Amino acid sequence: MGNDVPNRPEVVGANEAMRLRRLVFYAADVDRINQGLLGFVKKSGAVSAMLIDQEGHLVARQGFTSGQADGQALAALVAGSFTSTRQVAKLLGEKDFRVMSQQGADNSMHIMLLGERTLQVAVFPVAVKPGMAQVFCKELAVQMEAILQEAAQRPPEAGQELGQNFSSAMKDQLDGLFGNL
Amino acid sequence: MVQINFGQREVSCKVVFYGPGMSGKTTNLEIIHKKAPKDAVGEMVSIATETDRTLYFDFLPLDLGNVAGMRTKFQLYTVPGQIYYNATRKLVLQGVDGVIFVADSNPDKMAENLESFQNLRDNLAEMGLTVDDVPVVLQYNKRDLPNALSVADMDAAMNPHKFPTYEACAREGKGVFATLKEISRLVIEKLNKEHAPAANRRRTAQSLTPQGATTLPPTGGTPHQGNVALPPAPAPVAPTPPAPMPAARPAPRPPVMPPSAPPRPPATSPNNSGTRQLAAAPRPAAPEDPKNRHLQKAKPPALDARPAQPQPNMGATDPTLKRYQDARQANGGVVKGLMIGVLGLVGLLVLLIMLALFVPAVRALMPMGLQKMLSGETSAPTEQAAHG
Repeated sequence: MGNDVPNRPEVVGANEAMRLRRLVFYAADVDRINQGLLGFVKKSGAVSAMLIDQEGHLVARQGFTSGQADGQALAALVAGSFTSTRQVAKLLGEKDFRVMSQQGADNSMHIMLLGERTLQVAVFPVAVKPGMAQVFCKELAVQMEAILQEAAQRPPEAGQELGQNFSSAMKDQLDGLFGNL
Repeated sequence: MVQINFGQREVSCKVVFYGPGMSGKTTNLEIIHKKAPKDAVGEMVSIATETDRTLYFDFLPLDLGNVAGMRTKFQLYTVPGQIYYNATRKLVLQGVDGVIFVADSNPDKMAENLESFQNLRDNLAEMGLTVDDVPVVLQYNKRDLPNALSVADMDAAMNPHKFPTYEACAREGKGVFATLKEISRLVIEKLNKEHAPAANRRRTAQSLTPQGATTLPPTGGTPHQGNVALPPAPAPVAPTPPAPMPAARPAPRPPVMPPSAPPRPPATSPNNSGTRQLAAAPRPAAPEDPKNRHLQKAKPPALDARPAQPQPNMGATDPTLKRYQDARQANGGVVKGLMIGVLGLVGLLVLLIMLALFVPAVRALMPMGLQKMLSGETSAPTEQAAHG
C-alpha cells in the first residue's frame, strides 16, 4: 500500500513479504488522489496527469492526451523509461534521479518520483513553460506524497477484499475469452 | 506485483515471457495481439532494434473484463533474450507476478535454455525471490522442428521443479493461449489465496507456521502439475457461459470457429510417456538464411494501417474535465487574439513614428505642430529671441 513496505513483525517468508508489498489502493484514497489530480489539471493548464506504479500499473488518471495514447501503454513505457534512468543514475553514483522531463513540439512531460515506487506524470502543452510546470508539479508532489503516506500507515479496510469466488470466476472468464483459440 | 485498486475496482497483474534469444517470446505476444478478441487487447508496444530483436521489452495490455466485480487486467511483457541484455531483463522482471518461460525445443539450444533459466533464478534471487515464490509455466516452443527434443527429454533437463509445461508452435499460434490461460489461472489463484477475506487470510498466515504447513497446501498456489501437454484441438462448441457474477461481461464471446466448420485436424499424437505431442508438421519452405526465418515473423501493422481500436482507456477521468479544458482552450484563444491585436497596434504606432522621423514625405502628411516638434523647430525661435 502506498510507498513503503510495512515493516511488520509477522513477516515470515517470501510469500508473506510479497503479500505485504502488494499495492492496494482503497476507494477513499483513490478519490483523494483523483481530486488532487483534477485540481492540478485545472489549475496548471496541464493536458493530463496520472499516478503510476513503478512497475507500470496505472493508479489514477485525470485529463486527456491526444492521439492514440492508451493509458496502460503510456504507464508501462513511462515506468520502463524511468526505471532505466534510475539505473543510469546508479552508474553515475547517484541514488536515483527523481525528476525527468521530456520536451516535444506540442507537449512536454514531467515525471517525478514520489517515495520509492510511485511516479507522478504530468503532460503540459508547450504554452506552459518548463519552469512553471516544475513549480506546479512540485506542489502536486507534496499533496500526493501526503496522501500516499497516510494510506500506507492506515490498516487494511474491512470489507475491501477480493471475493472468494474471484479465482473460479476468473477461470470461467478465461474459458469464455480464449477457450476456442 | 499485483496492484489491487478498490477505488477503480481494478486488479492489475504483470506476467513476463522469459527465455533465451529467438525462442519465440515476442511471437507469443504477437499471436495474442493478433488472435485475442479485439476488445480484450490494447496496443502492442515494442522497443526493438532495427532488425526486430527485442531491445528493452515488448508490452501488451490484456483486459480480461469484469471478474467477480473487479476489472482484471494483465500486463504482458517480454524480456530481451540475448545474454548481454541482462540489465534490462532485471528491470522488466521487477514486480513480476508470473513467468512464462519459453524454451526452444531445438536440441542445439538446450544449453541456452538452461543458461537462461539459471539467469531467471539469479535475477529473482536479487529481488529476494525464488522460482517457487512466483508462478512459473514452461512452454516448450518450436515443436514443429523435425529434430525437436522429446517432451520427456525437455522435462528431464529443464523441469526438476515440476512446473506445468505446454507444448507450442507459437508461430502457428498453437499452445500460446493454453500457456496464457494457465499462468493467468495460477497468478489469480495465488492472489486470491493471499488476498481473500479475513478468514482465508488467517489460514494463509497459519500455513506459514510449521504446524500450518503440515496441514495446508503451500502458499505458492496450485501444486505444480508437471508435464501438462498440449491439449487436443478443441471441438467447435460454444463455451460454457460463466457463472452469474455481479456486472460480468454481458455475454460470452461466440467462438471464432463457426460450429459448422470442420474440426481441426489432430495436431497432436500420443507419445510413449503418455502425453500428447505435436505431430512433426512438414517444415515450411526454408528461406536462404535460417536466421532470417525468425525475423520474418509477423510484425504488428503500422498504427495507421490498423483497424479502429476500441476507445482508449481513460481511467476514471472526470467527465466534466474535457468541457473545462475545451472552454479553457477557447478562452485562451480569445486572450491570445486580444494580445496579438494590442501588440500589432503598438507596433504600427512605432513604425509611424520612425517613418515620420526619417521620411520627409510622411512627415508632410502630419499636423503642422507635430511636424515642428519632430523637426526640432520649436526651440529655434527661443534661441533667436535670446540672441536678439
